[in-house]
Amino acid sequence: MLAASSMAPVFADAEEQFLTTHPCVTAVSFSYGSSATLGAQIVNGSPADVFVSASETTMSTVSDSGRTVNTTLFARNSGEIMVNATSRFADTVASLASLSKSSNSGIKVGLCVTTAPCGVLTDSILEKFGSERRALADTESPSVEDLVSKIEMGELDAGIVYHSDCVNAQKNRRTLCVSIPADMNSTNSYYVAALNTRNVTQQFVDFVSSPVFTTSLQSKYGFLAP
Amino acid sequence: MSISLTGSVGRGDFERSFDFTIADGEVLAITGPNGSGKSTVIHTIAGLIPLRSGHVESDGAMWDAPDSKVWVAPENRTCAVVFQDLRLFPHMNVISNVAYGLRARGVNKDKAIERSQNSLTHVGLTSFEKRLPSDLSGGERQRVALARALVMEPRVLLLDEPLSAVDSASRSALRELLPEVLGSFAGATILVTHDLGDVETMATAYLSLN
Amino acid sequence: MKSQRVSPALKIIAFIAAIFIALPLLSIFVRVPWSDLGDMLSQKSTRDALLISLQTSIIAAVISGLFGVPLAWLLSRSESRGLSALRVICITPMVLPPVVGGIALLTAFGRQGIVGQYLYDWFNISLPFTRTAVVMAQVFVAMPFLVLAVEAAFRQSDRGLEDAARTMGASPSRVFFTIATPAARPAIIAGLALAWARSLGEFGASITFAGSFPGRTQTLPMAVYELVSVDYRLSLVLSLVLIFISVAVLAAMRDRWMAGR
Repeated sequence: MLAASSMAPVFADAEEQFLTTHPCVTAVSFSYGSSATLGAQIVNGSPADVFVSASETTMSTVSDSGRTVNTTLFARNSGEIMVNATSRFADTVASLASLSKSSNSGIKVGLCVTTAPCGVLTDSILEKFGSERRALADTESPSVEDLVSKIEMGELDAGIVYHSDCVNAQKNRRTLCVSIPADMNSTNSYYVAALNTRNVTQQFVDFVSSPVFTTSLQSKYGFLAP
Repeated sequence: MSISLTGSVGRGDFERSFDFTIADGEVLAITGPNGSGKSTVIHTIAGLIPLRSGHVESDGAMWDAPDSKVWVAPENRTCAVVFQDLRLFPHMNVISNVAYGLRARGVNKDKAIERSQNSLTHVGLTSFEKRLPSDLSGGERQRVALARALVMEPRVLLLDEPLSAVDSASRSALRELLPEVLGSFAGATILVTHDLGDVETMATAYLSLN
Repeated sequence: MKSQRVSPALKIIAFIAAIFIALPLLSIFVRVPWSDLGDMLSQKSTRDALLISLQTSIIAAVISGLFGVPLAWLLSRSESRGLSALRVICITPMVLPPVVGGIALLTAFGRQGIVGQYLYDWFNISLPFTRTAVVMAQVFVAMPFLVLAVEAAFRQSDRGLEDAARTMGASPSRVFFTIATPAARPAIIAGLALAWARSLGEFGASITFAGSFPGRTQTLPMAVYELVSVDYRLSLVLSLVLIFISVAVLAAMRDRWMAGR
C-alpha cells in the first residue's frame, strides 16, 4: 500500500485491526511519502495494490493513466500551525502573522513543498492570508512527515502542517498546536484507490472507506468528514 | 671556524663511526668505496640524518648531541650542500634556484638577485638566468648547483661527488673550475669523491673510509 | 595494433559494461525536450537553482583545497599510528551514504547539536537551512576526494628536493609552499576538480542539513528531485545541465584525475 505521509500514524494503528478482521491476509506492507512522488511511481509501474492520496489532483493523474480500478473519497484534512514546545518562540507564535521574519526575527519556519498536497493546502492558506512563502519559510519539505520530524527535533521552530499531524504529535508533548482561523484555512481531500482487481485489494479499500474507519479518523486522529 | 664530527650513525648493518675536525680554509676529501658511508657524513653534518651518539659541533656550538638532546634543524645550520644528484628545483628557473637560499633567509629580492648573478658569473655562467634546469646540460646544471651553494656564503661547504653527474666532456672544464672556486672560498670544505686525482689537486687533508 | 591483444570474449564483456553506463545517460539526451530547452533554462527556478549550485560548489571546492591540502601534507609526512586513524576518519565521508553525512552534520551543528547548541544559545547562530549549511554539507562529502588525490601525490614527491631546500635555510612551512605544493600541482588541480564535481552533485547530506528552499538553498540536484514527480520534462532539462557540467569537468581532466600524474 502506498499512502500519503499524513496517513502514517493512522495506518500504523489500523494495520492490526485489519489483519484481525481479515484472517486470510497475512501481511500488509506500507510505504509512505508525498502523494505526488508516490503517484508518479505508480504511473511508472510500481506494483502496489492500493493507493491513498492526499491530493485530488494526484489521484486524477493516476486515474487518467489507467492504473486505478475505482477511487473513493474517505476523509479531509485542514491546516494548522505546529510549534516546537521548547523553542524560544513557543510563546510568541499565536497566529500566521507571527511566523514571518518581520514579526519574529530568527524564527525558523518550514513549509511543505508546493508540489505536495500539504503544500497545495499551505499555498491556499497563504493566499487567503495574503502572504508569500518567501516571507515565512526557511526550508521546504518534500513531505509533511519530514516537516513534522524537523519541528519535533527542534531544528525548525514552526511550520504549517495538517490538523491531524498536530493532534497526533501533541501526544509526545514536544510540540504545540496553534489553530488557523476558519476564514483563512483550507482543506484537502483524501482518496483511496484499488490498483488491481485482487480480492485482498478490494477488501482493504472497503475497510478504508467503511464508516467505522472514517469515524475513527475524525474522532481519534483529527481528520475531517469526507 | 671549525666543524667536528664524532660519533655513529645508523644501527646494525649500517652503523658507521666518524671522528674528525676541520678548520676554515681546509678542504677535507673523504674517499672510500660505494656504500662506505661517504654521503652519510654530508647528510649528518647538514642535519638530514641524526647521530645516534656523539656530536656535531661547529665553532663551539652543538648542532647535534643526542646524549644532551641538542638538535639544530638543517635550516638553522650554516652549511650548504651540493648533492650528488644536484637537486635543482625543476619548477624554478636558474636565477630563482640560486636565489632560493638567500630569499629563505630573508634577503630582499633585488639584493638576492644581484648576489645570485655574481655567483653565477663566478662559476662561469652568464645570461643563463631565465632558463629552466631541464634546458641545461649536465655541466651547466653542476655549475648552477655550485653557485646556489656558494651564494649563501656558508661556513661549511659540503660537496658530494661533484663531478659524477657530469658527462665526461664537461668534466675537464669543471675540474679546472673547482679548485679555483674552492681556493677563493673562506670556509671549510668537505669533498666526498672516489677520484684520487681530485684528492691530489684540491684536498688539504683526506679521510679514507674502508 | 594494441586492440588485437584483447580477446573477443573480454571485448564483449567490456562493451556490455560500457553500454550499461552510457545508455541511461544517452537516453536523457534523446528524451530532453530540445524545442523548449531555452524557455525551461531561463525559468526563474532553474536560474536560481543553477546559481546556488555554482556558487556553493565553487566555494566548497576552494575551502576543500585550502584546508585539504595542508591535511594531505600532514597525512603524507607523518608515520604515527594516530595519524593513520585520522586518515581513515577523513576519508570516511567518501563511502558513507550522503544522508548519513547530513544526519551527522545535524547532530553536530544543528540547533540541538553538540556544538550547534552553543552556537545557538550563546551567539544566536542557527546553521541548518542556510546557504552556509549547503557549503558545509558539500565540503563534508567532497574534501576527502581532494585529500586522497593530493596525499598520494605528496607521498610520491621527491623528498630529496625538500631536504635540499631545508639545507638552504627553508623552514618546513616554506618548503611546503615553495617546493612541495608546486610539485603536487597537477594532483591539487585534479583534487579541486573532483571536489567541485562532487559538490555540484551533492544531494543527501545537503537536503538533510540545509533543507531546500527555492532561491535560497535549493540546488540543482534538489530541484531535479522535486520536479521528477511534477514536471518530468523540466527535470530532464536540469538533469541534462548536470550531466553536461560533469562530463565537461571529466573531459577537461582526461586521465589526469588519477593521483600523481
